[in-house]
Amino acid sequence: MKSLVSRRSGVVATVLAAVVLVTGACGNSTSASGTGEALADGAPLTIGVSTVATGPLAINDQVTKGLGAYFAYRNANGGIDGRKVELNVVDSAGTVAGGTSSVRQLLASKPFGLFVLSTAPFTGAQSVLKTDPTTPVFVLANGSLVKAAGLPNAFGMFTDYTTESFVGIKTLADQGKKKIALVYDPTIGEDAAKKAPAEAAKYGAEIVAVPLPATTTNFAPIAQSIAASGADGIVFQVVAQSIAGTMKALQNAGRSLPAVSYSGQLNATTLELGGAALEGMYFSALFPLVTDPSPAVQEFSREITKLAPDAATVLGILGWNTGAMIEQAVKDADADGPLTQESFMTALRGLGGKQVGVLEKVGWTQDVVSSIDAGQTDVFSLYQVRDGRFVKVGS
Amino acid sequence: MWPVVVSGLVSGGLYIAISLGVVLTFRFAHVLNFAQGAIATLAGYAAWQAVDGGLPTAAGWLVAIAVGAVASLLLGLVIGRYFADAPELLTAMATFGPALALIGIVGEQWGQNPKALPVPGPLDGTLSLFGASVGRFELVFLIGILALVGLVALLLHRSRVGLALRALADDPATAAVNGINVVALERLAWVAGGAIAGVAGVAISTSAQLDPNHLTTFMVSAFTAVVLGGIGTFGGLVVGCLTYGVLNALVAYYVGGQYEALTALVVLTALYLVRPSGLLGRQVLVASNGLPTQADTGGGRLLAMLSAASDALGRLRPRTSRVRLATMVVGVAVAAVVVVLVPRNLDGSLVFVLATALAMAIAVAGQNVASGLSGRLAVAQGGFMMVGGYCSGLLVSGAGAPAPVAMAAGALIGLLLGAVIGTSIIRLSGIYLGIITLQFTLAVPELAKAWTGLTQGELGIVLPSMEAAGLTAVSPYDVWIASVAVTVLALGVLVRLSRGRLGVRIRAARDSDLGAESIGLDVRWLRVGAVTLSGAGGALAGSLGSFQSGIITPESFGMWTSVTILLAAAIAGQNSVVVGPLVGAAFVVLLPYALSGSGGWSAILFGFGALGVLVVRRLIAQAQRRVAHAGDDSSPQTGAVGAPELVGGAR
Repeated sequence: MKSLVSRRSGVVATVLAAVVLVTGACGNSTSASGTGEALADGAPLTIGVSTVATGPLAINDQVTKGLGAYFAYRNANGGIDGRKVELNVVDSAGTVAGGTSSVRQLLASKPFGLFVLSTAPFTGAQSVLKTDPTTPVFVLANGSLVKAAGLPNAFGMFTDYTTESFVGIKTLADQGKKKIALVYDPTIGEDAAKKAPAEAAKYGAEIVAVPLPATTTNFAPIAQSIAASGADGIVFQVVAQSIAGTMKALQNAGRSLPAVSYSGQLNATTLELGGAALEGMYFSALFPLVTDPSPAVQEFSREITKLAPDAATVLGILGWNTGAMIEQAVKDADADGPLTQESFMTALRGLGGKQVGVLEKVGWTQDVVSSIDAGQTDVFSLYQVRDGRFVKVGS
Repeated sequence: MWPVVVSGLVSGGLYIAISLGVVLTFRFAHVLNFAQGAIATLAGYAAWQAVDGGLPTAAGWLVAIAVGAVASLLLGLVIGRYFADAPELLTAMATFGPALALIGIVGEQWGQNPKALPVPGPLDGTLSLFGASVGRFELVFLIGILALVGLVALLLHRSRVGLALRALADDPATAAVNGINVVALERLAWVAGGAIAGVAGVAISTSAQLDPNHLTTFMVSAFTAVVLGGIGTFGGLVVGCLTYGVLNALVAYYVGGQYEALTALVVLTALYLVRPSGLLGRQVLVASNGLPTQADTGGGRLLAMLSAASDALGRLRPRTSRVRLATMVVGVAVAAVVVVLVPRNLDGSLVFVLATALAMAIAVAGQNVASGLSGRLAVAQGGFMMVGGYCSGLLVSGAGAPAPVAMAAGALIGLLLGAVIGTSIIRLSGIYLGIITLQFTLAVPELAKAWTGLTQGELGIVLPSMEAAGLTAVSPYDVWIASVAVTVLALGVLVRLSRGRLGVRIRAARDSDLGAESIGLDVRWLRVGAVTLSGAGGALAGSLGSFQSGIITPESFGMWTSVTILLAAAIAGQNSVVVGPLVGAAFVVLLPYALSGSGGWSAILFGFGALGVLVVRRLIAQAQRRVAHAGDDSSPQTGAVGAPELVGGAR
């Protein structure tokens, strides 16, 4: 009797499950899509932000704070062409799945634009972003990754790490260095490690690749590895802690080598962690120092100190400048006719070569907007650590 | 090579510092404290704040020790109050929530920028140690921490308190009967562990950097060092940590630092074939019989009344087979309506998140087979999910396989891999099993990053929308329905297996391995079976999750995925493979979704929320036990004594 009941139960359950499937399969598609409609005069502009507020990559939230500070300042002074800008911020926790769900959530409210922070959430969001090619998407991730995604509506707000490694290689090659150690985080620098040897060969130099995960705590083996390779210069594509640790280990081992880091670590934090070991080290830079005396940077420093003092960093200024670029593009689009997502994206592409916000020159071209440098090395400046401070030494 | 070895020894000293407190609370309070790294972090920031405020560095160290001791004691009070007689997994997960909350609090208070702690003046600079340059502070700290370990070992073996602590470690109930103040000693262990966390927090932050997450990640590496040496002895702790530090340094120098987890996995697997308890560990039989908790509070009485009322209602339920069948049909019909109709009226993003919760439920159900039904601390689900995801991704993108075939293949690969892993760790249990399975979870992404020809490295493998029988799951609702179908199938299979002969045998082996063996069951192969099923569940979950995201990358599933699944399993309850995993998965997926607009507060609220749920769960379990005992006055009180259990190592 028991087996008869359980058999009947199984049959009933199976039938009902089939009914569920068939009924459910007749569902409607409800993918989000941009409308292409003109934004009414005075209507608020909503920007959805998939940020990283929690988890090991939460430092990226400084970008969101910089963006928020910019629009808080603008809104308090009349907005952009009479429009207030609202940010709708959702935490992705820095994960692939978090990126997928946060972007879905943001797109459901049909924002005017979207900002996706960090590599893992962006890779998770790609499948969702492909379903909505009309909403402009700003991306904070390695430019080479944005390029590989092939999204026509994506605008890279960060540099291409491969391009920055080329800046480092050129800087050292100009100093006569022939064997350059490329110390890179495998999570972000794999593309640079592949392409750097060909770039170095142009200057008659060779590359020694030294992978250095961000979780490394013992830097002495890395320093020994660099020393044993015979390298006479170092290009870093790692986090500030790893730069500081490696340079200190080299100093302890009595090996002092010229080194260049990428722009993401042009921060007071890097100096604080590395101390005297960083003296003489170079940093490529696209954005100016947060202590730069220019009026544009001083405006940033003043406003960020009020709202989020811990975001007075290169990431914070990047977020601030994204706000400036959005404002400029809105104004340019407004000047040419009704503001739509399409006219906004056209205006964004037109920012290439111009000075916007704190950026002396936006590196975008009409064809390449996957990174803020568009693969060009000449848009970068060079800073050097002298007496414990960053000093601009060239471009 | 000598400078590399010296640097490894120095690293080993830091591993000892973060691990010593964990070992103390594990041995004497019987809790694997996941929050040790977070407590060390809080202590480190307290020291930084003190120094930044103008106090001398030495005062900063004292502040750190005090903060660490207090934070650890507070955690110990909660654990002791609500989880004293709880299974090992539950108490470990009860520390996970506070760990997340502490990290969130630190991030909100001090921000995410790393900070530097100054080296004490007299210890600045470097020394030459037989030709190897080493930081003076690091060398002095290494000597200091070894001296501290020696002092602790001496106290344990030469003092009355030490003798009482050792008695507590071996048999808490007997120690209590003999008049030892067990509660006070357990609290002492928590205080000592926290004070040492304070020391570790300042030392590691001085040597490296201070940020909200670093010390928790460092602690996970240290766990590996501890089990390498063997958790039962201080000698094992020292040898394990120093050996692991040197090993990591040599691998970083000769091979590359990106293979740390893979190296650890290989080394531990090879070691455990010969010495399952680690280099110097020893097999110790411990009566894991937690003491009864003081549950007779107002809240406890209320829950007991509710539980009794629920039981009474249950006794009113008709028991004829026709009525049961009719009830089941109605229940399934209601569920079908809920599943089909309700999501149509919900926001698409919420529906999608519900779908991801279903994938998580499959993973949690699989975890429950390994850790619940089988009673073993396996932390491999993240690794299985990654394998399943890549398997499906390769089949779909490379061979054009349909989604159902790709998912089935992923589950099969997970099944086979689970069998291999289960066989290779057949002799392990406890924390040894937990750490080696954790290394598997950490090693899979390393392999995925390195094997770029197969996995496309960081770019990942793109998966198309799920498609079957001419239907394509494009919208969130479609994804939900497809996920429901996969979940019903997966959980149905797991239920059938867990309630069938295999499940009964696995539970028998869990409850008493000697008893199971006495009736002719092969306990070891039953445990292999549990890991095998768990692997299939994890791989299927990873496959489904990858289809939902549309991509699989080395960042898709990792250590925190495994730990989150463990937390969900702890919420689910050890014997449940349907309702419990659905509830547990809903908690760990939907609560962060609900809090995603709260910025850094979401980690704090989630962490305390997780602890709260586990506390409530414990109160309900205790209330039910009280009701059961009250209902049978003639039966002896048996709630406090559980099955004997090894500290860890071989069975």
